Amino acid sequence: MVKLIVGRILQGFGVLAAVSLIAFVGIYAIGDPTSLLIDPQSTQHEVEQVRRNLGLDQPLWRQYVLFVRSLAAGDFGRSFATHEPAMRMILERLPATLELALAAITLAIVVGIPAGLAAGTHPGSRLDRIVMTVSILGFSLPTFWVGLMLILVFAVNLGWLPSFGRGEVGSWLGIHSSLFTLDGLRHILLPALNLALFPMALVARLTRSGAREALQLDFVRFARAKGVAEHRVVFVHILKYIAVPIVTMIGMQLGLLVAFAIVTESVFSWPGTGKLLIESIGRLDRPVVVAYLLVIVSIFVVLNLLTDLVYLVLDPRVRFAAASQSE
Amino acid sequence: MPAQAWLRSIVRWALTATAIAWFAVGQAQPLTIGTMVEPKSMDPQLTALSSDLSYYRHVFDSLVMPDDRLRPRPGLAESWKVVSDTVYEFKLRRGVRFHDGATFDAQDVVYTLERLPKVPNGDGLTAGKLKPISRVEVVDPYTIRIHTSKPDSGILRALGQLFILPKGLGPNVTSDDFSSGKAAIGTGPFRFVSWKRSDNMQLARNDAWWGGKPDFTKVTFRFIPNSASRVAALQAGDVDMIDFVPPLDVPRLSRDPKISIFKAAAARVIYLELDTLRDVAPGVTDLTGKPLDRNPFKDVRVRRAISHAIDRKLIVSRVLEGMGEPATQLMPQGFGGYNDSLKVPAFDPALSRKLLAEAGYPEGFAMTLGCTNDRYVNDTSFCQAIGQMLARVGIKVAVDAMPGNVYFPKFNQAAFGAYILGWGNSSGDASSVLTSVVHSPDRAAGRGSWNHNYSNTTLDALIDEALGTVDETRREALYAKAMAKVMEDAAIIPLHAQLVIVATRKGLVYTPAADEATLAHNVRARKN
Repeated sequence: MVKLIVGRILQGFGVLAAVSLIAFVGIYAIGDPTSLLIDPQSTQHEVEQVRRNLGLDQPLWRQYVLFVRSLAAGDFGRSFATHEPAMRMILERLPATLELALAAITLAIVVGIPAGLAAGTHPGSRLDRIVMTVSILGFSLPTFWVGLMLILVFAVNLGWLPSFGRGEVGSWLGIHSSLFTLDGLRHILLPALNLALFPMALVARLTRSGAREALQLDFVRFARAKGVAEHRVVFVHILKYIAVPIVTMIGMQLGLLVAFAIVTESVFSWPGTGKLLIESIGRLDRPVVVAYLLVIVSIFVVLNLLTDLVYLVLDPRVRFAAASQSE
Repeated sequence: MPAQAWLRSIVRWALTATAIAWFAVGQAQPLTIGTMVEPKSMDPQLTALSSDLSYYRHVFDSLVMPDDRLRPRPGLAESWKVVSDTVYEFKLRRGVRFHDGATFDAQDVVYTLERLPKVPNGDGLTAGKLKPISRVEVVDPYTIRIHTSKPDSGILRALGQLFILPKGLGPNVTSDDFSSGKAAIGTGPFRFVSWKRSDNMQLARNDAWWGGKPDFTKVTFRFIPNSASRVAALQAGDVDMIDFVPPLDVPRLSRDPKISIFKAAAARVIYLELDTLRDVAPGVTDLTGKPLDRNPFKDVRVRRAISHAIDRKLIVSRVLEGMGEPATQLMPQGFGGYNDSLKVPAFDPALSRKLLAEAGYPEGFAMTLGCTNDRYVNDTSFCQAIGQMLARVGIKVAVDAMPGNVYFPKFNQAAFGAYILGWGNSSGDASSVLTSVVHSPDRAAGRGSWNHNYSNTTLDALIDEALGTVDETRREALYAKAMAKVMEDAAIIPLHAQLVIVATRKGLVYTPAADEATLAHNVRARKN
């Protein structure tokens, strides 16, 4: 068990090193950001000075060594554009992204699992067909377009919800989040729904196929034969059986939602990290892009680990295997 | 009085009170602006990016302030005069207070100029433009003389970007202090209130502003970089005004009874440049893709042929939906040095073909046109339109469109043989485009920094002469002469000027500024 955790953490560091190197080389290959950062009317002397200030006059390998060295001291470097510490810029915006991802995954679970269960336990019914069709739409419609349609319908035409931005931030137990105010909830509903569509469809389909499979299994037939109430069969026995793959999927989806909230954040002007990433890529702001990738990879590593741990709790087989391994 | 009458009068009272309260609220209504660009800092001396300047103009004032057409107008300096070729004298405005209550005088100007070159991480741009200043002489608290090392005509306009800071900030104030609001203290029309990164910036009216009270007590800028979302936010009524309206949305928005549109010619002119410097221009081949023995762009007839093959009016009316103006030169009308005698180059494909034949290319040739796809209004589309127009006279064009962050580094390595650029003309006269785009590259002198492909010594001499001429009329005549020469040489081919397009809810009136700055004090509530 400890071995598993330590192994995963070491693996994580390897991935972090690889990602930072790829991002470094990638942005270097696109070109010199100086021309994007300064006014076109500056002289060559001024351009050289800016490049020196940013350390861009050094060869690539030296830039990377310097980056790693200051990273060891906990310094992620300063943004080329704003000269603020890159990590601070990301951490400032991370709460907004996290709350959006959490709201989206909650929506996905609350809607997806019941829909999937209902469809799976009534195969071939009209309900099943509706869930399947809608979930195909959830997969295939581009997030960008759906986001704009949501704005058009609910904000522009009906005027029920605000069209963009994050609402008032409240605090509860020392946590600051816009989820704690009514205004905040009104603001988060559309972007969260937009972001939730894909994982919602995924959860619904996975639940459906799991439930269909479970229906044929002995323990379900036995429970039914024993006269266990139908809702108990579905919500306790079947749900427990299909929980493992769904939890894995939700864990990974949460990471993806944090990482790929980019489109939703730009459409809804959500002040999160995705919007920051897009702007930073636009101006080749390497310190911010690299710091962002490192944060996201760390989140994935942690989520992976957590998913594994939840496995242990949910599935006795994995628990026994892990126990016998560490002996 | 019977109970019913009592009730009625109470209701009437309540209604009146509500109406009065509502009216009062209506007067003090806040203004919310959905804007495309967020500033990078609130330190007005850190960078001179035009997107940031528009925020600085709310909180700070400069001695000389550009008006809507970017002409220098009195700001914190009430008046000025030229004492000699190297000395300007400024009379400062009396009775002006900073937002923290300190009184403005000559020492603040001295402090501001002293801090300018010392800002850590600064791009040094404004400092560079003001480098010719050798000395600031304080004659009395409200009179200063600015001495330059040699005659320099650009100083007055460059002072328009020097935002006056209170000397009380001291020598150790940092850019972070400005961005946090601690040091964001100016004399401008609005006081800085707060800035939530990626989300919004709030300002409050400075009731004591010398330029007159703005109409709104509170202004919130909300950062909405996505154009479609910005438009939707206005239509949903979540913001009162948006900037950088996409031209394609203008016809639809103008039909909306709840929305008003305001347009003006922007200072930005889009042009096509041809590489006339090198013997082989990248991407230029014969029709079968084999290299040519010489660079066709070195022949002025070929360049003119290209200019005459482009139907600028068609591009503006079709590709830009009418949201532009065909360009006669590298600047829009009304800017200092604009040459009135120049016309939009005639669209004449027959002439083009004749010129190409004379130059020895009766069959034409092939070229690659470098182009951005996210920088200028409908850039990819007008590049493709140009490609088709050139194809009609025998020049086969491959349009190579890419995002700005890939394009500009490539441009700086002179990787293109023919390419599109837009010039902002933020100085409000011909000086910036002639210095940086037309003048031969001379890194040491700060000339031709955006020119990798063109050199004309006659023009260089003319531009240098104009830059050293302090007398405005004579200088502008020299600029106009240079402009005519640029057009004649046809190596830098102007296409069209963009428009500044702003949309508001009905009931507001906006005066667009030519440099595309979004200014809350240019918004007025319509008086009915």
